[in-house]
This record gives sequence, structure tokens and C-alpha cells, in this order.
Amino acid sequence: MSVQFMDLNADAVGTVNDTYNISSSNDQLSVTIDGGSAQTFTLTHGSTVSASTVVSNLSGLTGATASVVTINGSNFVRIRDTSALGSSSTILINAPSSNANSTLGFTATTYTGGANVSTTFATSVKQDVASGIEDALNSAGWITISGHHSIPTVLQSSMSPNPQNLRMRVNLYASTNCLGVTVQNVSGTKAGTQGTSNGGFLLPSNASYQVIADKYQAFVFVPGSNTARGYVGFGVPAIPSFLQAGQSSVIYEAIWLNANAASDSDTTARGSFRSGLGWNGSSVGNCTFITNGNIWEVANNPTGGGNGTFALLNQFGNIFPGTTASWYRWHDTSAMLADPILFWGLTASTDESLGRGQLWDAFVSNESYTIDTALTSISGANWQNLTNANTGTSSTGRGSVFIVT
Amino acid sequence: MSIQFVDAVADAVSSLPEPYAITSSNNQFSVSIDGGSAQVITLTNGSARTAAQIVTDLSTLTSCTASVCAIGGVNYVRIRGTSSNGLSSTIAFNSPSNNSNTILGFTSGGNSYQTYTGGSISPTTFLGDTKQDLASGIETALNNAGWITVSGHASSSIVCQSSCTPASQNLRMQVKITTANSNTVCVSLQNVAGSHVGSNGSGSAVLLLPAAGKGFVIYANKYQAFVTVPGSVQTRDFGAWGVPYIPTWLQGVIWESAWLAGNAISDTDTSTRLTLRNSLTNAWWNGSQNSPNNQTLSNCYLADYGNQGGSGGGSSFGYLSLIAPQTAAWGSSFNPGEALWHDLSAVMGDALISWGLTFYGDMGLIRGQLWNSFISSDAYPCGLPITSLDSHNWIAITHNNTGTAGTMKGTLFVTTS
Repeated sequence: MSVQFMDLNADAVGTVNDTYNISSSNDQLSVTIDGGSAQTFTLTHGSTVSASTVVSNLSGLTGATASVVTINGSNFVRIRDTSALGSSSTILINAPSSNANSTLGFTATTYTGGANVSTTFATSVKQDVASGIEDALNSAGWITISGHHSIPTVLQSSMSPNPQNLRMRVNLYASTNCLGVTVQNVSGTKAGTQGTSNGGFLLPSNASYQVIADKYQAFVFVPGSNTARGYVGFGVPAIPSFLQAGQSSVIYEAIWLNANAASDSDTTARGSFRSGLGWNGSSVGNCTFITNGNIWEVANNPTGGGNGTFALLNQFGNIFPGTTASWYRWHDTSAMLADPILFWGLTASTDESLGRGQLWDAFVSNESYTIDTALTSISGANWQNLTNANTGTSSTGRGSVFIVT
Repeated sequence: MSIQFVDAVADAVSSLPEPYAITSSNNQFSVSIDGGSAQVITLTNGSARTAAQIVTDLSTLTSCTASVCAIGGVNYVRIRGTSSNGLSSTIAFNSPSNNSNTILGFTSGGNSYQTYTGGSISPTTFLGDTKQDLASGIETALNNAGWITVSGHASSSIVCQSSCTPASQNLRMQVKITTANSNTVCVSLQNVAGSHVGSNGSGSAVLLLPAAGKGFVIYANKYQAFVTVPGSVQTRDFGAWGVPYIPTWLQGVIWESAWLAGNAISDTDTSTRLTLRNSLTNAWWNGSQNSPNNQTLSNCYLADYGNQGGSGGGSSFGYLSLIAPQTAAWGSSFNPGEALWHDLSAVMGDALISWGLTFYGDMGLIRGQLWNSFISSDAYPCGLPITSLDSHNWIAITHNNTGTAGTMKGTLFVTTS
């Protein structure tokens, strides 16, 4: 098992790719690293300034490093803190006159190295849920793009370390009964549908929510139970080296969302990480997957499903254990632990489910545990079980997802 | 994934536990390390000498280290070389007058098959024209891998002993290779003490059929072996056995563990069964045939069975099985065990092995991990080589296992160099 723990460096990557039209009206880039003094740079003018030229302009940066990040052939400007202090590692993008923020795609806010966040808050209206999620994600290392403490809210994850370079946005919007949650890529070219039968739904009257998040993923749920319209998870995965930039088959975009409701009014807790490790049939909660320019959704309780729906890695003995689980734990009856590799189809649930990456700060145990069971001091971290007493079925694996708290 | 590779250090652990009655008639301890001069030490006499006291007597040994090896609360004497040169790392027990070999339980004799070595992982190829050719070929292959012959060299009843896995795992086993069956060579397992002995006969254990001009290849290391006929999945053409690697938290908890997997149920069997040669399990009903023979040993519990199963399988969740990566969602219409990455490369996993404690009806628990092995979640033809993975070369043991509604897709690979 190789748990992928998030790094603690602040990392700000522009959302607009080169080339840039830089003139006297937008040639100022000012950043403050780790709470120090503002460092202001005047960028080279030109109608087609490249990201590498901007990076050259920033060569005098101290406390951080500027670089070009290439994603599917497009170049962006990256500023990465050299300190790895989590929330204390900060990149504040200032907004002087004639700043280049919009041109380069930087948000005038503070990007941080993030933290493993576990927080619980009370809710009664949609805004309570949205604000609670926003605050938790900000603490975890996400930035608010728009709608601070107002619906709709758009948040952006940190970008995973080079050469993984994955990031995403999440939208929190007002659905009829619930706070709706959808995911999209940063450019907005692939966005989950905002409708009463798509994406995640969180019912405010559930009264209390917990968020476990890091700067690349989040799980929002009603603590202590698998409550309908009471769970949404989303994130970008960790990518193994053989799928990173420079390899023959690259994942340059991978975003997932998994919820436990089929609609804004659904009262059945559908299949999700809150109930199991994978699904291929009916009664699956809504999902959204974005992979290298492809997007598809599980929406409104489709029948049939497919083996591309969504699953984590499981490890068992050769014969499917069904409801009589065997071959899943060690001689001393301790559980076998596995990397939480995520599988989903490329364009539809009928596609073959392939491993797209691995959950951050997580592992899969082959054992069943009471929902929200806490474990301490494994690999130097504390953990919480997301999955509700999952002993498996004849078609899905026994086990639990544990997340760093 | 964390492949467990065998070390290349010679390691000799006595087969008899303390206390030892040492007198002037058995107090001469003599070993030659790595082909060097004999080092002769006179042990302290006493009627109940402990392993620790023997180790103290041996404190002046050079090029090797003496230590106490505790197995299941019983102490033995261990001599471990300090060189790591495979077959060139050797511990030869000499036999001067009044030697202590028998009282301690060390094998001696001066022949290569009686010398403890650091072993080799190179495959051994030979012709099994006759039962004796086959039995002797297995013995030679095991010797090359680092096993010693305890008795019956090149005879109709040969007993070979594995090396003991590193402290504090301390697992070892013996196999008995016989030619008494009408058609086949039988290979069964037993513990070193001989207190738990798998059946050896026409309906038990691994059964291997010789034939004129029939080539065998054995992929072995000093802890395990796979006997194959290249390209063949035929019944009586495959057998495997070994002691597993034990993870740290089970070291000392598992103090005896060995497995043996055949692919037949009798000396005349010709039916294709579910075995490690065509699947990731050596188990029950495959849709038309019962299980092949299996023998397992776990902390004094011997399970010895074959020809089990039947439609539905009953309470049969303790058959010998490997653990394979798969997605957590499956069904009859899907590829069982499918677990490929985005680029269609296979997910690989540790070659964990499980079985029930006392018989196939017990819950299968993971007893350890195969040495020099991994599981790929994809299907490959047996004999397929893979080069330069983890700085080793590999070969597929499992043949074209695409899985079924009841078994998972995947392939066991073992090292060849």
C-alpha cells in the first residue's frame, strides 16, 4: 500500500494559457509569499507573450519559483511556494493598478499549502451548507473564484504537483430543495449539468454536515449515517508516474463527483462511497466524470448501469466472496489494506472501467466498519471511515474507504 | 506493490530443538564457509545445553554468524553466512569424528546437495523420461535453488528441505518426492520435525507424469518451487509449493506455514481442474470438475484434501487462493477481476496467498506472500516473459486466465533472473 499524501506547498497556476497580450495596462504582477513583502514585477510587453517569457520576468521571485506548466499542449504560468508549511505557506496575489491577474488567470486571493480538514457545522438553509463547504475548502487549500458566502459559489482546487497537474472547480448552487453540487474543469468547457436530476444534492434540513477535505478532494456528508441527499464527494486523483506528463498515455484531466442521491427530491440513499466501494447496476447515486476532454454523468437512477460506473480497487481471493466473504483478511483477522485506485469509464457507464488515479490521503480496507469509525496513528495520520458497514454483496466488494482527518 | 525477493545468503538452521546432550562423543562442530577452511569448535559438554549456549560456543566463527532461531517458542541453532553470493555462499557441515551434526540436526555429507547455499532463482530445465528422472530432476532443481537433500538422494523417496526464511520469519518446510505410484511422481509437504506430514500416494498432493522426451522447467528459489511443462496446462503437468513471506506484524504469530498445490486428484487423472496453472486459485468446482489436491500447513494444522467441491461448492471458502486486485464492482456480464489502468496497463498486486486453517471449509485467511512473485490483473499465456521489471526478469505461470463468473482474471508471475 502506498498512501498518496498531499504536499504542503502553496501552488498558484494561472487559468489562462499563453500567449498573452501584455501592455502597460496589465503588466504588473505582484505576489506576497508566506506573508512577506509584496514582490512586484513588470512583465514584458507584447501581443503574444509566452508563458516562458512571463516566467523569465519572474526570475527574481524569492520564496517561490515560477515555472511553465504544460497541460495537453497548453502552457500556463505556475508560482509554487518553496516552503511546505501547509496553511502557513501562502501565495497572495495582490491587485495593484494595471495588474496582470486577469490576463494570466490568477485570482487576487491567497493560495495556501492547505491542510487536512475535518469540520462539522450546523445547517438549516442552503446558504448554511454552501458557506460551510466554502469555509472548509478554503481551509483545505481551495480558493473561492466567485460568490463568497453567497449562492452560487465557485471554488477551485489546488493543482496537483508537477507533472500530475490536475485541478478542478466545484459549483455550489441553489436547487429546488437542496444545495446542488456540480464539478467542471477550470476552463469551463466541461461542466456537470445543473439540474434537479444531475450532480450532488445536499439537503439543508439534515441539520448537520461534516467536511473532510484536502486541497485536491472533499467529502461532504451527514455525520453518523448514510442519509439520502446527505453525501457528495469530489476531487482530482493522484496520478501514477506512468500516466503523468511525458508518458505515452497521459491523464491531463481527471475529475470525479460521487453523490448518494438521484435527484433533488430523492429520499433513497443511493450507491456511493458512503455505502460501498463500487457499483455496476441500478440505484446508483449521481456521478460526474471528466477525463481528458470527455464528460459523462450518472443521472437520475439509471437502470442497468455498466461496469464503467465507478469503483475503487478491491483485493480478494479468486472466487468472488459474495455475501460470505473470505480471502480478504490476514491470518490474525486484521484487514488487508489497499491503495484506493479509482476506476471509471471514459465516456459512458458502458465503457470499460479503467484506473484513472488514486484518492489522496486515503486507503481502502477490505473490512467492514461502523460508519465514521476513527482510526489513529496509521502512517502517522488519523483517519475516518467514510463507508457504512459495507460487508459486500454478490456483486460489490466488501470494504471501507478511510480518509485522513 | 511490494515484491518480496529472496536474499542470497546461505542459512542453516538445525532441525532439532534444544536442549542438547553434548558429550565427548558429539562435541565437535565443524563448518566450512564459502569453500574456506574447516572451522572446528569443541562444544561445551552438558546434558541439557541450550541453543544460546551452543551459540556462545560458536562465537569465534568467521564469515558467518551463529544465533538462536526461535520457532513457535522452541529454540534452534542458526548459522548464517555473511556473504550474499547465492550458490557461491555456502555452509558445508563437515563430519569429523564425534561431530555434533546429528545431535543438533544439521545435514552433512560433503556433497553439493548436502551443502546449504544462498541459492539461485535461475530456472532448471530437464527431461522427465521416467519417474526417477523426474524425481531426480526435481531434487536437482531444488538443490540449485538453495534447498538441501535431507535423505534419499536420487532415490525413489527423496526428502528435500527449504532454506529457513530470514529472522524473524523463520519458516521452512520439507517435500517428499516419491516414485511409488504407477504413473506419476508424487510430491507432498511436511514440516521439518515430521510431526505433520501430508499424504503421499496415488491420490494425494502434487502428481507429475513423466514421459519419454518430456521437458520440465522448474522455477524455484530457496523457499518455493513451481514445476511446469512449458506451454502445458494438462493435468499432472504442474505442481507448486513453498513457504511464504510473512509481514512484520505476523512474524512470530505465524511460526509454521507451508502450501502445496497440485493440478490432479489421482495418479490417472486427466480432467482439467481449477489450478494455479489456469487461474489464481487451486480450488473447488470449476463447473465440471472437483478441486485438485492441496496441502497446507499453518501452526501445526495440516489441511490435506483434493477431489472436493461439486456444484455450488458448499461451504468452501478456505481453498488455497491467491489474492488479486480487482475493481469493487463486478457481475456476470462483466470481466471478472478486471482492473486495468487508463493506458490499459494491468494493475499489479502483491502475490498474497490464503487458505483455511484446518480444511477447505474454514474461512480463507491470508497467510503470507509468495516470494519473487506478483499478480497482474490481466491475462497472459503461460511462459510469457517480462524483462526488466523491478530489475528482474519474469515469466507467467498462469495461462490465459481471463476469469469466469466465479474466478478472477489475472496472472501469477515469478522471477527467472
